This record gives sequence, structure tokens and C-alpha cells, in this order.
Amino acid sequence: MDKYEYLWMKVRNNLLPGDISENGMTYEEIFSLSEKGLIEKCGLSKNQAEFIINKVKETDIEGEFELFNLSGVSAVTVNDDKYPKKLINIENRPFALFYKGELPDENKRSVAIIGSRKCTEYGKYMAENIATGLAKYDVEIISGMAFGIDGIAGMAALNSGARSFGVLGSGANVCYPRANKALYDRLCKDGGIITEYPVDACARADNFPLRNRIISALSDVVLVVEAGLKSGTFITVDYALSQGREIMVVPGRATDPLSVGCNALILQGASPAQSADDVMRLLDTVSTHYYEYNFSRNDFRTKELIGLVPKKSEKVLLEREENMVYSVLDFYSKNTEDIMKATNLDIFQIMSVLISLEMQGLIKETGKNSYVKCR
Amino acid sequence: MIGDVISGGVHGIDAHIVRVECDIASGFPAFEIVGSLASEVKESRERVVTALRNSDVVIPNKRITVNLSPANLRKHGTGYDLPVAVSILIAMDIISVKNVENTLFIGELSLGGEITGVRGVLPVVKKGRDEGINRFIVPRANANEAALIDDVTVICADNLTELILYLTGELILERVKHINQGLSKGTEILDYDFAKISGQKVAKRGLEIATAGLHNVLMVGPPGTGKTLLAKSLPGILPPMNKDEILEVSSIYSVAGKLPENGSLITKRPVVTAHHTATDVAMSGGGNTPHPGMISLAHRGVLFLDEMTEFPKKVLEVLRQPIEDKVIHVAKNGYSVSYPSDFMLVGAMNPCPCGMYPDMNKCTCTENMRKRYISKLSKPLVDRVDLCMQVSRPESSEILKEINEEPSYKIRERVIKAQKIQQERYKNTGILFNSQMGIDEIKTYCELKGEKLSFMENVINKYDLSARSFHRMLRCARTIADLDESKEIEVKHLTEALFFKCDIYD
Repeated sequence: MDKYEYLWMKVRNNLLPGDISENGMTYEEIFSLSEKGLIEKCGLSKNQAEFIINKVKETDIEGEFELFNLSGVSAVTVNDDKYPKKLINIENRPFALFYKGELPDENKRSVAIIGSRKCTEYGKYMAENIATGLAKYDVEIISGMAFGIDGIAGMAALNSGARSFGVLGSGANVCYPRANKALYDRLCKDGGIITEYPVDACARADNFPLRNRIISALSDVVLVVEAGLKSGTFITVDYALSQGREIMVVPGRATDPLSVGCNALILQGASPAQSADDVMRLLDTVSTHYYEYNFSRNDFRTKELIGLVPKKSEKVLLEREENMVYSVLDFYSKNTEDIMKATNLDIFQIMSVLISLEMQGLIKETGKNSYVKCR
Repeated sequence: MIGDVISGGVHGIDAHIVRVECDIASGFPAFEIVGSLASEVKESRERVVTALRNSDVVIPNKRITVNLSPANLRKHGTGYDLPVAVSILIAMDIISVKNVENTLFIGELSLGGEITGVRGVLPVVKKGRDEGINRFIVPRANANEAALIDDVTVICADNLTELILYLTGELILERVKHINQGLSKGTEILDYDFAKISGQKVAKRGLEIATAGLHNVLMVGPPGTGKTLLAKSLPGILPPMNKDEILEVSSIYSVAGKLPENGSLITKRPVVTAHHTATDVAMSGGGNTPHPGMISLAHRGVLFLDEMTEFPKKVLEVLRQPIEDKVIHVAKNGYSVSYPSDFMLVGAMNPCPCGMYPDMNKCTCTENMRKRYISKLSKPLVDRVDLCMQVSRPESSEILKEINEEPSYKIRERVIKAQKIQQERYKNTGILFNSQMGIDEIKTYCELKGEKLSFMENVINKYDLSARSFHRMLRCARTIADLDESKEIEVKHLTEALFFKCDIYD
């Protein structure tokens, strides 16, 4: 990226959609035009031309470009070969992408895993389970690196040896949200951090809806794990639909507020997914006109279907009372009083069993004295 | 003739004997009281002079000097009015020294000469008795209080004139009858009983353990689940105080001016409920004239903080040192005083701002909101809480069920049994309950061997326990074992202690 492309990126990011025909001119030439020249030669409106002139005036291009060069962040523009092909034909494609680590591999399938920031244990479990499963098929995971579903899926994929990518609403060197620094560092090392915003850009609220279009565009299938009715996830879903990407949804209980969004999508025609294999089935049929598979389709179909019920050999041997308690527990928190009523054990037995199960890693405490299943 | 009178005052809750001397010499007429006096004691001058005049005593136009000794001990309170007046009367030869032999005087004077009540009479009389004094002249308002002490003669006069007549032998005053207050038997009808609270077996068990060892405890749960009700029911299960504790607590209440009207002792462990609008001074004590705060009024008893997260950080900070040291030092305005503050902290709070966590279907808080809410309690304070339990929302069907629960007195019986075990264990040490165990006592009384040791090793690894958390667990386990009447701490006791461990800071 040269400094004129950088300047064009700054201009372009703030000029909302509308194609600007570059007319075979170089960016250097465009920036030397007057307002009148911009209107005549590039087909811009007066407002747009004014905007460009002002932007050029107020930008310290030498200084900013220097900072970019020193930052260690890489960049690609539409003019480069490395620019992700999946982004070329989308509406309002980003002119440039900044990234740390790598960009997604065009020869691999990718799935965006998105969902609510405030998810339940069920959502966490499903996100982790499916991301891990997909990783085993060498699928790359795209997400927003946010709290909740996004972060969990991203991390789970990395932990299973696959690459995952986080698309940010801030500059590539700005870790937002800050509490996800561990994930950010892993992504820089084993996957990639991608953004259309320049180095040092802060995370602003309006950035996030826009960056969601990149998340959906970089994927073959978008998987929604958990979403309430008013979730930002739907913005990503809308982009995905207009970009022609398939949507898959993890269903939930009809009564759970955080599954209402998901179940609504299913009612509107999205395919339900209960496991990584379900997602693979769809991935297989997705149109591939812009890249080619390098693997044999048959590989996947002959693999044994691994469901959510552990195989007999994996089943943990529990004492009778432990079994009773374990079986009334769920991925939704249950408090000790309710567990006592459901199993009819007395308080001393319950305390002993709960601690035992907790120490075996089968359950964990959410709120004080409230427990959920871990596995 | 130097008038010499015995009196007494309180510093903190410790009483000390004060000698009041009066000297009348020729010279420019003046009346000075000296001896490191607080402002209300300096005002004695006006009250004494006026009271004497209104009792038909003509004060000579001479140089009168009164000294309250020891002179370097700061004097507070209004109880020196009476002894100052009596010392002047002796110096004037109206009363002879013989008349006041082995007698302690304490009381405030009204301008008309009446002897009115003061605070702190109980500890002063007790100190006087311990020093060998056997007759006490006290205000009638404090007579019952003074009469609680064994082996003393308590006399009350209504005013100075009556007192002068009595001391010179011209009037007989009956001694106040000694009140032999028995220790409360605990069979009274309780305002709040555990039997009236349905369910909440976990919370009740946790409170039983906490009261058996006087451990600090935290109740966490949604609003409306009965945390306040459970705390109000605590008096019904608290173990009784021994004689020393009773006197100590009553002294504190006497100094605070909070003994009941009829002057009886405080025989049941105090339960002080602090509201979150209380100031830090109300909590710690001190103020312009030193007085005990809520943490001292809760000494040997319970300090209940409802809606703990609503307390200003400043006020909660006041608790931290006293919980650790069992005493609070207050210094202000040229005085420095210490009050005892060995209390059992009972806290109640919601798990998150909306109160519904961990029910993710109902909880509307983000993780950040919840973490910020919890951090309102400082970590060092939470570090001193031994037990934590959830008070949960019952299913709707439970609310309408018939209540058939264990009554408080049954729980109290178990608590008292455990208390007796602790009394026996600690009889030659300075502590009374398991929660007071220091590192050495834990080593001695909570030794773990064999499978219990390896169990704890697993636990420390799995839960990443700090040394402090580990010791807290052991103290609780010791109490749980005592409730189980088991000499050794078994794995099941350790398990229960683990269930109740306080880890809201993860």
C-alpha cells in the first residue's frame, strides 16, 4: 500500500456507498484535482468533492503513513492480489483491509460463528462444541472477537489447531474489547486480526454494524448460536443474506429469551444446526465459484457421526447418588434447593455429591450454590 | 483541709479511678478545676457552683482549686460534678473525711442541686469494687445498673441537700437492693422463628454453622427471598454469653447510654442492624465526644448489613481493620480511645444489579455490570468472610405450601452443644470460638492426616485456594465437625466447608 492508497482509504471509508469511478487515473492524480475536476472527471457530487478536498487538507498524510509503516500492521487494497476474493463482489466492499497475522486461506472453507454477547451456558457449550468440531475438518472460523459466542468460538477453534480470525471495529493494533486480550494475542499468532479501520482507530459504536458485513462476507456459511430478539447478530444476518451467504442456526428451547431470535430465523427458513456435522453438510453444497476445494468430498461422509451424547466408553462412571444429581442438572443454572427437591436427597448428601461432581470437572458453579453441567 | 473524694470515669470502656481533691486557700477569689479536662468537664464549674448555692451552701470568697487526678489522664463526661461538689464540702468542713471513707461518688448536678444520671456507671462501679471500694453514691437513674454488681452497697440521693444530710449521719437512706439477674434461659417467645421460614435449607444450615462458631457469613440471593427475615431470626439461635461477656457488653452499652430503662444487663448477644445510610462515624464510633459505634454495640454479637452493596465504600472500609484486630482505635480532637469490636458479620446482598443471576433467562446484566457490582465490596473485606451461601427463589408452588419447618430452639440446642465443645477446647486459651482461631490454633486443633490431607491437596489445586482461603475453610470445617460431635475433622466436614466457601471474587 502506498501513501496515496492510504489517503484514498481514509477518504473512501467515510464516503458511504456509491462507486467512484477512478477512470484510469492514479490516486496521486485524483488528489491533485480541484473540486471542479473531481466533479467532472470522477462523476462525484459537489458534496462528495468538497468532502474529499477537505479530508485531504486536514489529513497529515506523511505522519499517519509513517505511523502505519512503523506499526507492524499489514495492509491489502482491492488492487492487490492478496485481497480476499470473497469480498470483491460485495456491496460497499472495503477499499483496504488492515491485518495482523494472516488473511483467511481462500482454499479452505470458512464459517462465521456469531451470537449474543450475553449468552447462556448452553450457548457457550454449543459454540465451543461446534467450533471444535469444525476445526477438525480444517474449517476456518470467522468472528467479531466479542464477548460471549464470538470469543468462545474463536478460542475453541484455535485450541483445536485450526485458524480463526477476528474482524474488529477498531484499528488492527487496538484490542477491543480489552478483556479479550488473551484471545487477541492468540489470533495474531495463530490466525488473524482483520479490520478496515486504520492503525490506532478507536472502537466507535457506528463501526460495528459496518464491520459485520465483512464477517459475513469472509465466510461461506454464517452460524448463529444464540441471539435474543434485538441482537446485533441480525445485522450480520441481513448482510449475509444480501451477500448470498447461507445462514445456519442453533435451535434452542422455545421458552428461552436467548433462543427466540434463533428460532425465529429457523421459522423464516434458516437451516438448523445441532453439531459441526450439520454445518459440514451444508458447507458441502455451498457454491464454490470463486475458489476451489482441495479435498475429496467423500472424506467427510464416511466419517462416523459424532453426536452430543458421549460414547459408551467415554461415559463417566458415577455413583448412584451422583448420577441422580448429574441427571437433573442442565446447561441452565439450577440452585441447590431445586436440586434437592428434584432428587429428594437430604442436604448433607446433596452438598457432598455436588462437591464431588465439581471436583471431577463434570459440573461447575455459576452463581453461589447454583450449578450447571460442564460436559 | 484538702477535700479528697474518690470518683471514676471511663476511657473507651475501661473504667479508672479518679481522685478529686479540693484546696481552699486565701487569695484572689477564684474557682479552678484542673486535670486534663474535656470541655464538658470544664463546664462542671458553673454547674457545681450554682448547685451548691441552690442547696444553701455559701461558697467562701477564696481561692478554690480542684484537681482531678491522675492529671495526665484525660477526663470525659459529666459524672465528676457530684464528686467535685463533695470535695468542696469537705474542704469547707461541712462534711468530714470520715463520712466519705471507702466511697465512690459519681453523678451530674442540675443547677437546682439534683443529682442526675450519667453514662458508664456500670464499668465504674465494677472497677471500684475490684479496687476494694464498697460504697457507691450514684444517681437514682443509674441505681439499677450499679446494683447489678455483686458485693457493693449502692446509695442514691435525689439532691445535694439530701446527700449532705445522709453523709453527716442526719438522714438514713436505704441501700438499693442488689439485683440478681439470672442469665436468660432462652425460652422466651421469639419475634422471629426459623420455623416460620419455608424451605431455604441451604441458608439455614449455613447460618447454623456460622452461629455455632461465630463465623462471618454472607447471604447472596435475589430480592424478596428472605435474607432479612433469616437475619432477624438469628437471635433465636445465637449461643448464650458467659458472665464476663455479659458484663463486657453491658459496660459498652452503659458507656453508650443504651442500657434499657430499668437498668438491666444485656444478657443476650446483641444483634445490630446497620442501615446503608449510616455514616462512617456511626459505624466506627468516635465523634466529637467519644462514644462507641455500631461495631462496638455489636461486640460479642452480630452486625447485620442488609443490602451490603448499597453501603458507601467509605463505610465498609471502616469495618476492615476492626474485623481483623477485634478492636477499633479512634483518634480525634485531642483524644485517642479504643473500643472492642469482636462481632460476627452477617451480610446480605443481591448477586447482580438486577438480582436474577445466574438465571440467564431473567438476568439483564452484562458480565461487566455484574463484576462492577460485586467489586463494591472490597476484596480484603470479603477475604474475612468465612461462609457464603445462596438464598434462592423458591418455585411458585413452594410459596403456597404449608410450612412445617424446624423451630429455632432445636437449632439452638445444637449450637449450644457445639459451643460447649469449643468452651472445653479453648478453656485455657484466650479465645472462645472457632472463628477466632489464629494460625497456631489451626495447627493444633485442625490437623489433617492421611486421606483428609490428600483431599485438601486436591482441593487447593482444583480451586486454586490461597493460604487465607485454606485457613478459612479449616475454621469452618472445625465448627462443622463440632456440630457433628466429631473429634476429628473428616472429609465430609471438609466437603461441607468447601460448599460454603466464600469465593464471590472467583
